Amino acid sequence: MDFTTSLIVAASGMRAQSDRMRVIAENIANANSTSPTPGGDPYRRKIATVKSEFDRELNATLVTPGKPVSDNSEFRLQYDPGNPNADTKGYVKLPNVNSLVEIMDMREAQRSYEADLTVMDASKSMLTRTVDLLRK
Amino acid sequence: MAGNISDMPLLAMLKQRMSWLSARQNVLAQNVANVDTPGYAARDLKPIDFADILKGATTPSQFTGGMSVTDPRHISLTQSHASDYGDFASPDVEANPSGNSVSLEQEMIRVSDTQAEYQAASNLYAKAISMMKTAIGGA
Repeated sequence: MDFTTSLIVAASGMRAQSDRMRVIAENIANANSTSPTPGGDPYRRKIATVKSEFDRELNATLVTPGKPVSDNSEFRLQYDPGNPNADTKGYVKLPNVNSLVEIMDMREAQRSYEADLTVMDASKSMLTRTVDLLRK
Repeated sequence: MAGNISDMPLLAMLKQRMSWLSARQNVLAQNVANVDTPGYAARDLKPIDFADILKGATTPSQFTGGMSVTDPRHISLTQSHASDYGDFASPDVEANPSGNSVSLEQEMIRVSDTQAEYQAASNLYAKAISMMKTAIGGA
């Protein structure tokens, strides 16, 4: 009986999802962070990645959070000549973060996390059942 | 009946069933954990063949597989790894653009299915033991 393996696998999934959540939080928090220098680049959106990794000892495929990659799409431009960070034409570059997209990503991470939690609960109750055989 | 009480055909069958279910739970946990991994294909275990088990149960010496244990000091070679039951790719849905074919809904159904069947098997196991106790007058 190796229920501990399924518990470890589910935990690795939860860890990967919470790491993804951290990247999403960074994006949302920095949705309006402009560059400190006039005309410079503002905060660039990051995309969380996950990759699977085979664990020989457990004989199972675990999930590990990958290095976040940056989103190379265009920055938003806003005409705001009064802003100290505006370029010579009066435009300020704003981060390429779309809060709607981030919220969607957040829901997805949440859903996957809950699924991992369900599997963990199921494995735990199966494990408890096995141990309960001792009491019979 | 020589040897272990768990070598009795009924208990041995239940033992194998429970070990299969636990291996399946393991495979399902991997599917759910990899729900966002690009290129991951959902997997499942091959169902165990009832006819095979029944044949094994009536000839207990061949049942456990591996080397036969003829002396109590021998160590039996049975393990419960997912690979022993032969896992294979069984995509839940058409792969999405990132190449992932895991459907959370499908996996949740499989997980609760496995859990319920495990519960049934462990209850049967407990019942068999209690019947045995009745037979020997231990109540």
